Amino acid sequence: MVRIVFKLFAGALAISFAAGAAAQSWKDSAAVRALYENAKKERKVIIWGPQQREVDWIPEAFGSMFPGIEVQWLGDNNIATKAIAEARAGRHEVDVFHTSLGGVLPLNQRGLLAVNDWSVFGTKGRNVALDGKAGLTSNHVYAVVYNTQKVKPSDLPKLWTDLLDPRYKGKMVGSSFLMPRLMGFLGLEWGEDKALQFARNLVEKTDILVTQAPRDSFLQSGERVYAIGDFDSAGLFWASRGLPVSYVIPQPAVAVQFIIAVMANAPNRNAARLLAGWMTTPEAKRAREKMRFEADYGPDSESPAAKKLHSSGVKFLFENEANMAQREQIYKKATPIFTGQKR
Amino acid sequence: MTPALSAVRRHGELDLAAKLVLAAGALVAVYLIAAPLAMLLLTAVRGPADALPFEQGAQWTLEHFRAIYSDSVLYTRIIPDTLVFVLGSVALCFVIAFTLAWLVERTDLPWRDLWFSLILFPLLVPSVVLAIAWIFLLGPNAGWMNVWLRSLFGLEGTGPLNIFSMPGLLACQALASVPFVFLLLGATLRSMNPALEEASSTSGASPAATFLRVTVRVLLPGVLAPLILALLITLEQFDLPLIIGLPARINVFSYRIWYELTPSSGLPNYGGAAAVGLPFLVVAMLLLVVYNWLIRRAESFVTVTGKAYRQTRFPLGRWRIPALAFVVAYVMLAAVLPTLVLLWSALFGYAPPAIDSLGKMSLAAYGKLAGNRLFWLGLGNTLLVATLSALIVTTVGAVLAWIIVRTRFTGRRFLDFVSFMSVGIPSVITALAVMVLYLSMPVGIYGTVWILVVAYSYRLAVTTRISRAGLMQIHRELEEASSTSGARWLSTQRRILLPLLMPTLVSGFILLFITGVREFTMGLMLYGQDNVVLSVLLWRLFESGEAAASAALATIIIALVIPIVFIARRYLSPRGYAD
Repeated sequence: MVRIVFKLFAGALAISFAAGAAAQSWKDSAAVRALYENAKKERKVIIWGPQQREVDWIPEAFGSMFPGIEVQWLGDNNIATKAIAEARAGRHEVDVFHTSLGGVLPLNQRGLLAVNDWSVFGTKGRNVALDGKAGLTSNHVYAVVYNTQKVKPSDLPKLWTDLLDPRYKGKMVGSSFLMPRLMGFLGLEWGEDKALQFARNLVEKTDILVTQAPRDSFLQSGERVYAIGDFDSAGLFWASRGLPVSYVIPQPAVAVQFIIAVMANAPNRNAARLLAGWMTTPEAKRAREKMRFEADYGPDSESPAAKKLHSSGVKFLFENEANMAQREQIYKKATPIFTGQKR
Repeated sequence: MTPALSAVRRHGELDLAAKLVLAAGALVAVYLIAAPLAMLLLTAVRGPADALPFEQGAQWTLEHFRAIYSDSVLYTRIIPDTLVFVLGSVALCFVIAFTLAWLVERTDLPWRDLWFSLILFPLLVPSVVLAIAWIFLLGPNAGWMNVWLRSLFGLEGTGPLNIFSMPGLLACQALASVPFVFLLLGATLRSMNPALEEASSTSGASPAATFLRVTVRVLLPGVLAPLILALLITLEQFDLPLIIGLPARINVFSYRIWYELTPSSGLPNYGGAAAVGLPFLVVAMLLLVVYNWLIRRAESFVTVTGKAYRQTRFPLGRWRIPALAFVVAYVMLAAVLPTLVLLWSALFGYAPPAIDSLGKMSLAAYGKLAGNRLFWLGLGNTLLVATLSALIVTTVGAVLAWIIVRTRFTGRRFLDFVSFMSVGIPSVITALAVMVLYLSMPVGIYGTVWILVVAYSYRLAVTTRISRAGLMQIHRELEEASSTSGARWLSTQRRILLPLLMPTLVSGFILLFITGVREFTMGLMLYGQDNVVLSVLLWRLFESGEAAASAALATIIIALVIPIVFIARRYLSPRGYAD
């Protein structure tokens, strides 16, 4: 027993030494130091993300490693539309763009992203996407978050299709933004027709409340007890704030890939490259997981949550460059179903 | 005709400064309203859908109209939902507002001064604040009122009230619109000669019979115009349909425009949004024409004469308690309970009120807000945009009013029409038009606070009408006297006219400032990194799951507008409630 504990301790020590050495190697490299010096002259960097929760932790975490650079953020589901509109108006304000792989596609198609040298931050291989314009940061797994005080363990869904069972009627709430995107993933697995029919059934038969409002308020008040299609990290985040919630991941399990990219016309170019590069490092991923419970679930991830999930044997469908366009086509068709603009 | 009179009657004889000021005012007015609308029209007939009208590759097309109007959802959902929403909420609003106005203006209801201020409350608070509070109160499963009603009557299951339904949306919209209609009806009721009511009462008619057979019939022409205005204003509503209507899958036309502009991914469908907006703009303009006609007709239906009369109040007698209960119920639902809900949520989070929660009170949400850069930015932007836009509109409106009342300039009727047209333009359409205009023009104000100042400044009708009424009460002789004494035009305006017109201009400014503070739709459609305003920040916080912070911000907005309620009351309320 003592030997096992010792081995575990030694292993953990080796991993932290290795991680520390890796951190040293990228942070102390001449390229990063030069970038930091130039970034300090710019004094600030502006990052946009799809939700406040995705970006508001960055100033503290980034500032502790790179003081002297103010990080300003904006959290909004429509950042892609806004960034494209501002670029058309000749206004270039945002430096760094942080969203899902699919969410950044319209910007990439319009040449609004810059190639970044991710290798100086130790990021390479499968962790770089869009021909060097995006670095992979984290994943969000679609889940069913539920009120632990009002839901019995036996009433938890195992499959997404379980949600059509009458026992869930009148008890579910879902985001008008996330639900169609979940259907996009399910469409990859089931085929488009089945996914869209599932969307129609959810809307017409379950009395699901589709809203732009936050689902945690519905869960806590008991107005609805299941939040469908919210992320695992949202469940953990809400629980950390004292809400009586937990989550399950119905099958098929699907994960969104979040990325970071530098804007081609970033006004604070050096600070943008530094912030974007840092977001792909193990240090930033650890800070993110600690503050926002959002982990990198990639195969080479150091995250304990990722390791636990992979060891459970659950088969994951990840968003990637090969499937994101098809997923986009399906969720575009699912959106009007949830917003009532089409059947 | 005196020399001065002829000078102001013939614009050709105005001095250079006068010509410059009047020309600038007219041009700004036309620019603020006509330029965005022209761009909207072009956007509707230029394609492809995601292209701006003058962008490379854009062509003339009717494809947007075909795509939008061949979609069955327009006829099966959007038009029926819009009709039910507008007609239903206006009908309910009118019944409530008329009753309140009659009780406050024409009866001996106690504490009328207090009720007048409290009834105005929803007019001053962004609708998004009220919507969030009403969801906390009326949610079918866990809304505070539903929990209370279920325990009171021993009911099982959900409800009995459901905010996420068409009746729920209608009721909320009606409650939110009451203050506006109340103000308009109050003015009509205040100016009504009570002789007929008195005759009815002394003839032995009951209060109800007097109200139905005399008051309603005498006032009918005067109330139809506010009714049309209420229809117009409800037609443009976006906040409550977005927050309460969307979960109930209620689709009104303003949401459809929003939907076209916020696609799942990629670029907004500018052409589609414009194609949806144009026919509704036509309907709004038709309603405006009807309104104008009714106003003229109401003016010819004399209930106020030159003969002096003393405003006497109708004694409520045994109806006093039910009348008070009605007013209290409205004030509770529209002002007191939403404020309490928000205050509780700011201090205690989402949990329904309970004695054992009192120990968990925390000011953390306020602290978090104070440390949020966007809060201070939003506060500054809100005050800046509301102040500047109110100032621009008040100034331009006064200049237009002068042109219309004091000159025989050939285009003055056109200017009158353009300014009045602004009443009928929904803010969602204005925001779209301004967005497309400044995305196309290389002036660099898109994404800045200045685009909000320009967009908010389209509401010219308010001050043009108010200033016109004020100007007509100031006799030309004063300006003539100044002019014949050798004063130049600008000097005459500054030293003679402006001081006399100031109370009128201040009341218009306050109305516009309040409108600017509570504006949500334009702020939401045009916001970026630097031009966030408080109402949009509130929605963003709420949407991001920061319920306590959003409730805290809502209470701060309420604290900001409460002093304005009392200032506004000074200008908007009648004198002498105490008989």
